[in-house]
Parts: sequence; C-alpha cells; structure tokens
Amino acid sequence: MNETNDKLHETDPRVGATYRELARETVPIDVDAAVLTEARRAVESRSGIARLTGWLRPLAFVATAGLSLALIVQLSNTPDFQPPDSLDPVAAPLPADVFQDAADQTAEQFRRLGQDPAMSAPPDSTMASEPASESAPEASLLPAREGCDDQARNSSGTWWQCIRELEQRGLSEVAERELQALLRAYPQFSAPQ
Amino acid sequence: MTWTNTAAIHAPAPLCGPRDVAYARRMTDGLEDSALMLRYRDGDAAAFEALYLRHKDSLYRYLLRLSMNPHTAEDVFQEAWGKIIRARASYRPTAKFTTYLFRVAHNCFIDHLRRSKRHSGHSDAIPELAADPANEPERQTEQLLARQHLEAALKTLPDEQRDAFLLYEEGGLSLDDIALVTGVNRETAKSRLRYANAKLRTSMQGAGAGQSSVNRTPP
Repeated sequence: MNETNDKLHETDPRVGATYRELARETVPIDVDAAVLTEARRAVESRSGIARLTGWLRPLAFVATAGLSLALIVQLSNTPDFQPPDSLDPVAAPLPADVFQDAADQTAEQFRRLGQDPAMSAPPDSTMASEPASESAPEASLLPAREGCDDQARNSSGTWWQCIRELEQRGLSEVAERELQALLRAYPQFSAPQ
Repeated sequence: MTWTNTAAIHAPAPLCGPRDVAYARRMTDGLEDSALMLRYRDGDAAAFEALYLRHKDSLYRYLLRLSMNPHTAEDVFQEAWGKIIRARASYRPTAKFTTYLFRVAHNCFIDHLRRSKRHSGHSDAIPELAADPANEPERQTEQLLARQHLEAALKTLPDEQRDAFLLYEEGGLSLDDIALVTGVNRETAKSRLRYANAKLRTSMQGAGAGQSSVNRTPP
C-alpha cells in the first residue's frame, strides 16, 4: 500500500482541516531569539577555530620548508668526507702483520740504542721479538728480509756478490730467484766459476 | 510539507546587515531542508535561520499538543534545536529532515518525561487564541467551541495515538516516518493513526451538534 492510499484510508480530511484551522500557536519570541542566538554562536565559535587552524597550517608548511632549506645549505657547506683506508675491510691489516710492524719498530729503536731487544723484551713478547732478531744489522748487501736491495742491483758485480752471500747463508731459493732476475737485467752476464 | 526544489548549493555568504540577511533568505528559499542543514554545517548561519523558520511553529505545536503544557513545550523545543545545532557536524542527509527533526524532538520529550516522572496533561494550560477583531462574534464563538471540542478530544486520546496524529498533521510525516520516529513498525503506526482519526471524527461530529445548538441560541 503506497503512501497516497494510506492518507486516503487512514485520515479524515475534515479532522485535519479543522485541526489546521485551529492550531495557530506560534513559538514565543524569546524562544526564537534563544535558538537563533545559539545557532549563530555555534557557527561563530567554529569560525574562530577554523581561523586558528587556517593560520597554523601555512605556518607549519613554512616552518618545514625553512628547516629543509637550512639542512640543504648546511650539507652543501660541509667539506667532502674522505673515509680512511683502514675502513676498507679487504685492506685491513691482519693482527699478525700489526704485531710484525710493531716488532720491527721496536727492533729499530733498540738498534739505535745499541741494545738487544730480545734481552729487554717482556717474556710474553716473543712473537714480536723473534722477527726482529732475524734482521740483526750486518755489513752486507743483503736486505733485512729477502732478496737484494736496489743498491746491490746497481751493477751486475754487486748483484752477483749479493747472490753469493745469499747462497752462503743457505737461502738458495732466494739466490736462484735473484740470479734469474740478474740474467734478465744483464743478458750478457756470465757467472764466474 | 515537502520541498522538491533541488537547486544547487551555493557557497555560504557572510552576513553583514539586514539587507544581506534578506538576500540570504531569498537565496535559501528554494533549497531543500537537507541542503540548508548542510550549508549550516559548513558555517552558513542564514541557512539555519531559513530552516528554523520553516519548521519552528509546526514543531512547537507538536510539542505543545503532545505535552499539553507550554513551558514543557518550550523547554523541549529549545533542547531539540540545541541538539540539532550541536550535532550539525555529524549530520548526514540519509532521511527527510522533518523526520530527523521530529525524531529528535520526540526523543527529547520522552527524556523529559523520564526526568520529570510525571506527565502534565492539563488542557487548560494551552493558551487561548487571541480574538480576531475582524471576525464576527458568532464566528469567534464557533471557533472557540470547535477548538475546545478538538482539544478535549486530543486530550482523551492515548499518548501514542495523539503522537501519531500530531506527527502526521504537524510534521507531515508518512506512516513509515511516523513508525521510524516513534520506534514501532509500520502497521502499529497505521493502527494508531486510524484510531486517533476515528475518535477525533466522532468528537467533531458531537461538536457540530453542539455548535448547531449554540447557533440556535438567541443572543
């Protein structure tokens, strides 16, 4: 049943007409004023909040932009950062090498002082003192570790003398390697028998 | 009591003076209730004024007849509009505004009854209509008698039937809307409205007989 049929069946037009003719009461003026005042105040208070938030939003935007610009300027004025080589994990020295370098430096210092580093080294520092004893200073053309130095390689004669000293010391492999290098550098060289 | 003009919603204009208020009223005359409420939600006070002027008297009369007490009607009237004002931000035009308005007022009245724990039903509390000097004395007497009979008949109606009748006459609500406002199903609302009309019609017929006797009475 639709609404039109409802009205036709459920209401009497005479009753409604009589009621509408007689019911003429209106809202008192003071009630009107109270409701309309409340409505206006509600809108005005909301407008005040909207004005405040309307200022806060651009202010926040400007502050964010200013901070970003300052950060960019600060970064552009910072000198280029060069990471140290030691940060490279591949090139990082092994602990044994570190100890070896420290031992060499210590041996050099004792050499300058004319002392034996093995005598004054603490008992637990044998690992560092052992390589230093191998490089004891001698009046020879042999370098501290292996092979001939550049001074010995200046001429074929001194180079050969260095090789002979290596052989005498039992470093035959090093002497053989130096001999091959000597023959490559001086092809006309013939080793004396 | 429906507004079918679906004019576009204009941007709210700030009100500066009486001429601006009159202009705003003209601009809002053709707008639907829900459109006016949405404009008020967005800050247009003139839209609320137009909406209020459309429905204030019918809502007041509904509450006046329902409560049978002018002071109660005024209190509940202000409370209902106040709720609508405060809840404007959450307003959604999912139903007719009149249904929304009368539902709020109905609930406010129910809350008022629960608070006061009593229902003042004195028909003599309703103020008398002011006499129109242009009307003849006989006509005034007829109106007064008819009103007395109608008010007496309304008073005798059960609250639910009177509520349904007033929602139909003052709010212009359909059976579905009456059912929605009063919280009952459609058939119950239909039954209440039917019984109310039948009783009022019977009362009106008795008033007509009495009115005839009054007219026959010599001055």
